[in-house]
Amino acid sequence: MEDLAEEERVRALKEDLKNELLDMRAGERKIEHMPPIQDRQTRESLKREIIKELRHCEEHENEYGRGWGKLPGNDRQDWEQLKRELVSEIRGSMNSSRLDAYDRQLLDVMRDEIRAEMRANPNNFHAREKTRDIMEEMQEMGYAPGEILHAVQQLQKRGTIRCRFSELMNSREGRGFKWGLGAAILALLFLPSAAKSLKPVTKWALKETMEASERVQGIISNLKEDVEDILAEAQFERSRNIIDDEIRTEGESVPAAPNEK
Amino acid sequence: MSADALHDKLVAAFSLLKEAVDTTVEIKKKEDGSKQAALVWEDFLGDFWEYIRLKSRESGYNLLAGVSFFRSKHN
Repeated sequence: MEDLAEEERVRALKEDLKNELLDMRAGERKIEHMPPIQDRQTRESLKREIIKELRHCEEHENEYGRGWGKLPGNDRQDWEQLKRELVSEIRGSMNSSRLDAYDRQLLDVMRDEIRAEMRANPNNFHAREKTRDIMEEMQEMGYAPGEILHAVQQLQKRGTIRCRFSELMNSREGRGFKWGLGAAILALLFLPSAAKSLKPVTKWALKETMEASERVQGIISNLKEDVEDILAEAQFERSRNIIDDEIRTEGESVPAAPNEK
Repeated sequence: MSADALHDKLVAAFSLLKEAVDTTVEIKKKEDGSKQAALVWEDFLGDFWEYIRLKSRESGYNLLAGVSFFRSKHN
């Protein structure tokens, strides 16, 4: 019963999007495209976002219950789990031939939606899937990513999407999306430049995650570096936290001398 | 002590480190030297890291606080 109601809400949301798209085409409104972002710039900003997400994940480990929580290297089991889930996420993405159609703007819209939902409902994580499913369906119907983005933005302005998604999120338990490194890799894949290099990146990811001993040829070095940067920053962050913990522990275990400040 | 003095010390240290990197390259060119060079670097980095930890604990200041990996890499 609840499933039917949810289906109904998804259908209504799709309908809204479709109408918006039809209106848009009928009115021959011009879609303003974002100026092309220099690859390096995009990657830098994406990396920062991802680091922020990793930090956020770590900070909210207990609150969210799921997700990666800890950064790689903290715990062998976590790392093993991360690897397994990352591989499965990448395989899932590889099965979809629609990645090329995504662009940076769409990713941003999805991210905003998810973040808003995470804030509103920390226990429900399936907003991403819902948003993506709907956008994919729209693309299958022949709408360009830019058009969908424009329609989504229009609906967002009116508050339609936010409201509908809140309903959806409250309707049943989410499937869960694994934030963290998996999301980081997937985010890189969503970039147009990364999408072109999907195969080598996946090769690299599989190699790293499955600890394959053979060297994989054809790795795109800049993407590899990006991911390495992310891991390095995460490790650096972790090192910093270790020192913080030690200072805290030191402060707790050594009582201040009477004359000490 | 001022930030300028720190800067001067790091410039001097960096100059030596560059020489060490160049030496590493030379060692790597020889077949057998590669592993040894790695071990020397591991010792050095390990000691360096341990010293930062020690001084942070002793002083109560996290010496890595405010240091960003990305800023340091791209600035």
